[in-house]
Amino acid sequence: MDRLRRTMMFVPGANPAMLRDAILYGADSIMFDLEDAVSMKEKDSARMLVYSALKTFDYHSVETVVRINELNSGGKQDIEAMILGGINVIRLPKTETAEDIKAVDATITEVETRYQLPIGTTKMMAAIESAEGVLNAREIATASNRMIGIALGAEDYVTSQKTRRYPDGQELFFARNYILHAARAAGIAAIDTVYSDVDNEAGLKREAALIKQLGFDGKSVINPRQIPIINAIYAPTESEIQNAKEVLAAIQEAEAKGSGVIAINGKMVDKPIVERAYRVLAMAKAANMEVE
Amino acid sequence: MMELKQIATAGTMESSDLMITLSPNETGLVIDLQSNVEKQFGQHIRALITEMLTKFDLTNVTVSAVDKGALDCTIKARTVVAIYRGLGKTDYDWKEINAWIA
Amino acid sequence: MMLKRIWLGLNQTETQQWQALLEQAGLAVDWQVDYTIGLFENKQLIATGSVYANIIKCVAVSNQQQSQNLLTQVVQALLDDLEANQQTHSFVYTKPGTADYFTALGFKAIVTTKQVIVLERGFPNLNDYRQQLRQAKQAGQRIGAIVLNANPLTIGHEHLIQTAVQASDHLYLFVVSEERSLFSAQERLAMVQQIANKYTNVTVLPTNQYLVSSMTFPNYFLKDRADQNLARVQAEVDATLFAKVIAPELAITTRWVGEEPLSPVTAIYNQQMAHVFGTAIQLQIMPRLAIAGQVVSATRVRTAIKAQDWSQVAQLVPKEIYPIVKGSIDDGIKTNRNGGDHGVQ
Repeated sequence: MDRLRRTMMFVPGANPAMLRDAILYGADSIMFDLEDAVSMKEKDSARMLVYSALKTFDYHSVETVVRINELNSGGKQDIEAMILGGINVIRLPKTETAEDIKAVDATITEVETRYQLPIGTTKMMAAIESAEGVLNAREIATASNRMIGIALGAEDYVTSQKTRRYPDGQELFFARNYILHAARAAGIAAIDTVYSDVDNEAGLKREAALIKQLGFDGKSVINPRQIPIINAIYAPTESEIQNAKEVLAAIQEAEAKGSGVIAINGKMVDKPIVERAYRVLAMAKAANMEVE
Repeated sequence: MMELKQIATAGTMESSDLMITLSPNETGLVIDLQSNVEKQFGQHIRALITEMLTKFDLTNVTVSAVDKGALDCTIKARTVVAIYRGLGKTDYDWKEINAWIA
Repeated sequence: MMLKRIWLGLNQTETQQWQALLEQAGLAVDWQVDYTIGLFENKQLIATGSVYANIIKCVAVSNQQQSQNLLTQVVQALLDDLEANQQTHSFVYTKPGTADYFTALGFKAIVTTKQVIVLERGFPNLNDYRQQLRQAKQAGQRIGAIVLNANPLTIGHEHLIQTAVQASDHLYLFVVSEERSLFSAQERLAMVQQIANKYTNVTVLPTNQYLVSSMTFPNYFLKDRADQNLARVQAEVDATLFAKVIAPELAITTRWVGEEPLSPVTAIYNQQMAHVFGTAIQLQIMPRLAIAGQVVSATRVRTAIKAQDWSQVAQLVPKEIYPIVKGSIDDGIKTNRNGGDHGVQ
């Protein structure tokens, strides 16, 4: 079972109070931002604060991600500091090609080697924020063994497409589906873009339901208030849970009997159904729902 | 012994932060601290700032710090950044830093 | 809540709200600002602050609000702006009742009057300036001081210095450091030093921002446009800082000034000095030197410079100063610069 990534919360790197509180909001992943949320003159501060926070706080099972700057504008120092801090995932913004990923991968390898860390410990993900990036999504997704996911960054993307965000999300239809396909083909996670209208709860619910329907692992969030809303959308329904329980019971029964064929209510239970059942129960557990 | 090249500030006056300004002097370390938790933590905050300055072998410094309830990791981070800015250096020695900040 | 810049004058609605908030907070509506920000809630201004050079002023928070938190946000935003402009030292000019808010943010009080308190943060600060004064201190009983801009130095200044030197064991010449004049602070210091070199008991010192500056006395530089009520308040701040901090450091007994009957701001300044100094420091107001029936003033020299009337300039400035003046003007496009000095000797 893959790690749950329903919500990946942006935490501005230069804000000590948010660095301290980030763990409290129940996001599946915390994404420290050294890039756009930090002004040019505060890059050094943000890098040092996030490094220091990583060394100090126990983030438990929460996945820690950092959005770094481009390699030639501070990204190299970002990578060194974050690896020493013990970050799980390095996220490259504005990824256009597989070469971008390979360059970051090489820098990570160089740092891991220098500090005698097992090569490959630090994972990577890419944010895709342009037409070029979307069309290269397949190559990006498979450019490094470190890759654990790709994410759509819609604000820059819609601008590059000469449009803007609309409530129904039609403008993102192709990008979302293509990124999702690239991720699934590569066996990694697909994370949807942020929903920036923080006060529009109905709009967020609509968008979360849509991306869940498409198959995204989850969504980036910019405000802690968005986390329970998205989690609620991702929480399975009672009947989904009931169904999943029955699937697992049927498997156990079949195994006990030594039977190869499993059927529930006359319908064959094959591998995808079993996989989905496990996923539903994991989601239910993450949502603190009764599964036993 | 190292010398600061210029006056340097790091941090903000927002809650949970430390705003620290370093100014070179010729007379030795002076720390002026303004904190709402001065009574309980004043000594501790001063010690952390001094510890970081000592790592850089800096003694001729006047420090002006405003603490808004910063945690130790924030105090250290803000101090180290102010020091690098005061030295006019951007190439952090992460290996060294990693040895100090446990 | 939203923090944004208020474009005074350009956005009428916000400007009116700004005025109302300052009045409600009991602060003078001071238009001498470079940059103003406002914190808005539902389009209602709830907190504001401004920056003028490196001076934070017109900071006000609506009565209905929890002040400290909003104040911190406003001051932080202003400090960020100052830092972006490479200002490592800043002042706050506010009313005494709000001092505690600012000391909690690391500001230190440097002068207080009934209506105003000035605080500062950053470096170099008043302590550094006092240190500099202490190092320059000379012994004596009758210790005089003149504050002059010397933009440029005239035979009138020379005359005043001469008179003061004769009546003093030691004389300190404070040259205005503010860069708001035709001649740079460095050039003006050099001119005054030239004259000081003739004597063994004269020391030249900068004022930094602690005398006749945008910080202590901004209206001073507004000439005829000065708001006389504000000028009165600010002159008291300036005189108090001199009397309480600077004079004791050097044991100054007498402040020498030139009479300027035509300038209301100077008249106010002289009144307030007399009032603040009391019996502690003697205020000596000297009549102006006149030639050809007209008083000698730096303004007159600058008019002659503008008219390229160099024989007139040569008449009005000491002969050792003339080459500095001529050289400086020939050097640059200085005639385009605005000569904003008046009143200060």
